[in-house]
Order: sequence, then C-alpha cells, then structure tokens
Amino acid sequence: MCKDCGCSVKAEQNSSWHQHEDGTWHSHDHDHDHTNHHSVHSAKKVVIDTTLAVLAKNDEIAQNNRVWFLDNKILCLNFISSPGSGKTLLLEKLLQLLSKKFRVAVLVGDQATSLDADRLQNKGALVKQINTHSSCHLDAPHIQKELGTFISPETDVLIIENVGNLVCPSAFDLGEAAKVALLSTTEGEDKPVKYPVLFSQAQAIILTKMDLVPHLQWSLQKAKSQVRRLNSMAPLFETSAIKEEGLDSLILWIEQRLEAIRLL
Amino acid sequence: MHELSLLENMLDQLSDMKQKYNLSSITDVYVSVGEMAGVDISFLESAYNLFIPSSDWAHLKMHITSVPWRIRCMACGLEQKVDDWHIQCRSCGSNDTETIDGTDFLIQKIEGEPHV
Repeated sequence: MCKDCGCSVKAEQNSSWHQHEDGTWHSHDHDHDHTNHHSVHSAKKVVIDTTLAVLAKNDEIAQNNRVWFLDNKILCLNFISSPGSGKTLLLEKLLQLLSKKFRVAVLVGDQATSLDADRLQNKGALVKQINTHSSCHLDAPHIQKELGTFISPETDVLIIENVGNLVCPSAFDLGEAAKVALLSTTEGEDKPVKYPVLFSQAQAIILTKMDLVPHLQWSLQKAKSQVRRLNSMAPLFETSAIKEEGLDSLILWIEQRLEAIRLL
Repeated sequence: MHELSLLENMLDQLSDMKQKYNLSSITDVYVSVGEMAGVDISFLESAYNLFIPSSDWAHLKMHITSVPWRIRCMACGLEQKVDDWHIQCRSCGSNDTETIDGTDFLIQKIEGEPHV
C-alpha cells in the first residue's frame, strides 16, 4: 500500500501515474512497493486552498479585451475550425459583403506564413497575420497587443480567424463576444460529438462547402442532430462560399449581434 | 496539444503563489480538470512527465481530479451529469439545459514548505 495516499493501486509499468477509486489521478516519484519513502513527506507542510483557474492570467487579459471591445462598441467574433474547413474562402466572400456596411478588421492566426492574410487583402477589411510559431492557438495577449494599434476604436467588427484546430483554441478566452464554429461537409457529420468542447461553446455554427453535398454521402439532418446533441441554442448557417450562398443570413446575424452591443 | 502551454501557465501561477505565501517549495499541486475544459488528462500527464523532471519543479507532484460535465434542466430543474455527449434532460426530455459544472481547469490546493 502506498503510505503517501493510502491507495493499494499499483502504478502502471514505466509510469508513476495511477487513478484512485474516487477518480483522482496522481503520480509519485517513488514506487508503491517502496517501504521507506517517508523522507519525501515533511511534517512541516502547509496546505493552501486556492481554487484558482490555471488560465487566470489569460482570462484576466481576455476580460480586459472584452471591456475594451464593449467600450468601443466593437463586435469581436472568434472563428474556430479544423484546418481546411473553408474559413479563409468564407471570409474572403464575407469581408466583401460586410465591408460595404461596416469597418471590419481581421486577425489571422497561423503557426507560420502569411498566406491566409494575403488571401484576405483587398477585400475591404484591414487584415493582419499573427504567427503563433510553436503554439496551436491564439491567446488573449496576442489580441491585447493589437488593441488601439492595429484595431482602431473606430472598428465595427473584428473577426479573429483562429489557428486551424478544433481542440486547443477552445480552451483560450480571447475576449470575444462569441465563438463561431465552422464545420465543413467534407469532414462528415460526427465532428461535433468528437470535439464537443468547441461545438457546445459556439454561439453560431456555420456549415461550409454545402455545394459539395451532392457528391458526398453526407446528411444535413444527421449533421444538425449531432450539433443539437451538444448545443440547442446556436443558429446554424448553411453556406457555400464558392457559390456565395447562405451568406445573407450569416451577415444578418452579425448585424444583430453588433446592434445588441451598440445598445448596451 | 496545448497541454504543455497549460502546464507552463500552471507553473507560472505556482511561482506567484510561492512568493505570495512565502514558501520555500511547493511539493504538491491538486488540480481539477472539467470534462469540457478542453484539457486532455493523458496529454497533461505526458506534458508533466516530459517537462517537470528536468525543470526547477522536479519535486512537484501533480494530483488530478476529473470533474464531469453537469447541466441543469431549465424546464424541470433537474441537475444531472451529461451522458454520451447529449444535453437532453434525462427526466423530462427537454434540450433547454445550462452547463453548471465541468468547464474549468483549476488549481484547487497546494502543499508546500514554509521558509524557516
């Protein structure tokens, strides 16, 4: 038995991690069979209850970003999807339409290159690439650096095109008003339940590449039901960027969200 | 895999706490990981195994508790665990539910040794 925790669970071979019956996982730097490991436990230990978010610093900056956006009546949307889901083409079309009515800025997150930002140039919006290098997501400090500099207080809508990844960006609050998840028809219908964190958090969900449906064994009804398992509230937009279909209802939703912020 | 980044954030918080509480060392950290916090526990363990032994925190032990995703039904009020990634109320069948737990990644408790 482990004298540290009282458990009788043996650690997995080559690993000090083990799980207790109450669901707790922990590691020891000693074996469970070790009979004399009390030297690692000091009688002078102090215990401090904290209940502090691991990402508290990011969350605090994100909250400051959110306040700045609200003070300046800017709608900030955080677009998240897997790589290749059609975010950039959708934005190319969306920016051309949105920029007729609003001052739009775009921050594009990618690990490397400015390829996506280059594609979004000359579509009526201000565009800036952020390279995250080894990181798989944007975080709140990335956005904070741009407030009042690249992102002017005169901006109406800021769209953040996050790094293509369904997992990591969901864990980091940027200060956005809403996370927007994209799901392309070529990914199949079951991505939402495979990546539930994003699809349950999203305040809008955009189905992309709808023009490819005739060529795929893909069911709109099944995709919708998979989304609704996790998220009963988010509006679902069916779009084809290449055919410029379904964008009007998405733009209407953006206008409504902006109007709501302006009334606050 | 953002768990290495999360681990760095955790160590940053621990450094602050070490100073704040005037500790010579922190020996144990107890974290809770919500099912919907976007943290993969096995990746977090891998990040710990990869990074901690050769760091200034070589003697830090991490204890992880998994917290299930829980919702409250807005129609009948029942609080329940979400099973099979389905937010439908198991009692009345309503989909009108709100999340009440399981979205946070928290440092719940630390143990350390004070300066003598």
